[in-house]
Amino acid sequence: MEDRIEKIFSEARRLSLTADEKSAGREMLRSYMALTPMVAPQQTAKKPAFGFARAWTHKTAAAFSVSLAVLLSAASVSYAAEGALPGDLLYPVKVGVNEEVRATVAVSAQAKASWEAERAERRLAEAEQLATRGRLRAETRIAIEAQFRNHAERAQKGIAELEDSSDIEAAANVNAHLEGSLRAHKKIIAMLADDSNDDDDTQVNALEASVDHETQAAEEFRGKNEARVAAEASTEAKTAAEGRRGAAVRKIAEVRAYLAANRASLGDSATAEAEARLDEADATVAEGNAKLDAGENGAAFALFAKAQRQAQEAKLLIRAGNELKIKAKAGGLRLDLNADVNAAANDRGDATVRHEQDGGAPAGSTDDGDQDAGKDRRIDVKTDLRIGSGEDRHGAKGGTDAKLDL
Amino acid sequence: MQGPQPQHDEFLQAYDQYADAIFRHCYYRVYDREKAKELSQECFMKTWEYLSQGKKVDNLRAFLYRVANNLIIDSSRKKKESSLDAMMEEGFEPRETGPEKTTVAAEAGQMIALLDKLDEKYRDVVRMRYLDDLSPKEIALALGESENVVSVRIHRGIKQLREYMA
Repeated sequence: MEDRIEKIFSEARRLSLTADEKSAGREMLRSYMALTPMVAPQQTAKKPAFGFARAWTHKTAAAFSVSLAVLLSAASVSYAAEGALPGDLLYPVKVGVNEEVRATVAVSAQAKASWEAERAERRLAEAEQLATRGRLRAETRIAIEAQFRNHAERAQKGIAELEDSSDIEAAANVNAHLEGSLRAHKKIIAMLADDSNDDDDTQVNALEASVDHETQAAEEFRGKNEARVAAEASTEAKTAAEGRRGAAVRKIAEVRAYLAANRASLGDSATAEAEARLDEADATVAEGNAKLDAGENGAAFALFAKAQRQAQEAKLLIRAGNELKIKAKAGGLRLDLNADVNAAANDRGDATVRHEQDGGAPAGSTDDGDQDAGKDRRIDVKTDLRIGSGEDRHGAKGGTDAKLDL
Repeated sequence: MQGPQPQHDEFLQAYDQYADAIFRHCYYRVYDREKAKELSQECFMKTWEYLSQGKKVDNLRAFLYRVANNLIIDSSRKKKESSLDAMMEEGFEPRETGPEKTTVAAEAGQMIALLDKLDEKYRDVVRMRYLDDLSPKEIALALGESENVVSVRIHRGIKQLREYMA
């Protein structure tokens, strides 16, 4: 009997990683180790059990301080690189080092997909920043757009894989993040569409099409995901809905904190808009709670996901207000913060913005000629950002004034 | 310059030596190849993080299992893993997908299923002794128990297993 048990166990012990898996794991570990270097060993006298601790001599002390200095300066370079834009000296560090390292340390499938979604979002933010500075040229836009699509598609592939492995909650979580980001950027890009010079304008429009495409994919996925939850047994759907609620509540709290930190630079009316948006997200959560109490778990799941999306959108709109220096005038910059994000089907391509420069120049024909370099340039824009049906796309009702400081 | 390189190399050697065993250890607890890969990768990363802070580890192998056990517990708290019974019903069979693509004998699959029926305290030590091939001393280190307690549990666990198999 003992022999038989041993034989069976030795059979089971044959399970192993493939050579490829093992070398991929080794590489991942090696990159991670480079990121987390050894600090000076603590002990000196005792014989080390695993040979890691070494006698602490002046020589090794010097060596450690040199490597520490190298690491610290590498760390400050990579920190400085975080704000870099395409064309900047440090941009390759941001994309090729910082982001790759983070991709390597994202171990779980959810973390990997989230990071891809985040990278897609970063590319859009870069394009927007370049556009507001009049630096978005065709070749840059094409490169950014290719990267954006690449990351968005990888995020979507990751989401689909999470769904396939029955991790519906994780899939919904990443998708809500991605979709919320895409929708916010769609609005921001639409706002920038008629801005500054013609070349940028063309580039921004081209980018908008790509964002549209990916947003649609995210919306389609959400539809399937929600249908799947609705079809689940009630206890499972309830657990899934409760999981989504947790994620939504956390996201709202995160964005409130973000808003609090940026209140000063954002200005009162944009702050009020963002707060209103977050209150709406809270209301959506309350609505979801009511559905949950009523046993309508599928509907509750969809509402909590919506709240999470609303919060993510609010966050990116706050950031755009901040970084792109889009400031509100009397009445506030209405980035259509009241639009029903659930009206997804009506929404595609219909968010319109009209900018009218001082002097009544027609939209889209802004003239660069009178801009002195270095002069603070203010363009009064008439913003009409609406979500509606395609027919009255160019209608002007509900327009509010906003000022674009460049 | 004597940088951190030697420690790096030693730890990578430890990876080469133990990666399969840690992977297997995770696999026979979560029965999901991808999940087991993630857990074992995280186990090495966490262990490196610990060592990189200059902390001392007496027995690296036992320490790795200890970290792996904690990660497995954490992950099962986060998400209830499919029970082996349910997976067996769906035609699950522990399978080796190594280059030689050998299927682990069906008997081994049944044996692993039997292991799940053992009392938890026996199950862990029997697995570690026979699947992971750890010495009672290493198991004691990994579980934070005395070597004597571990030996007794192995003995009783095997006895229980034999009763199930009879």
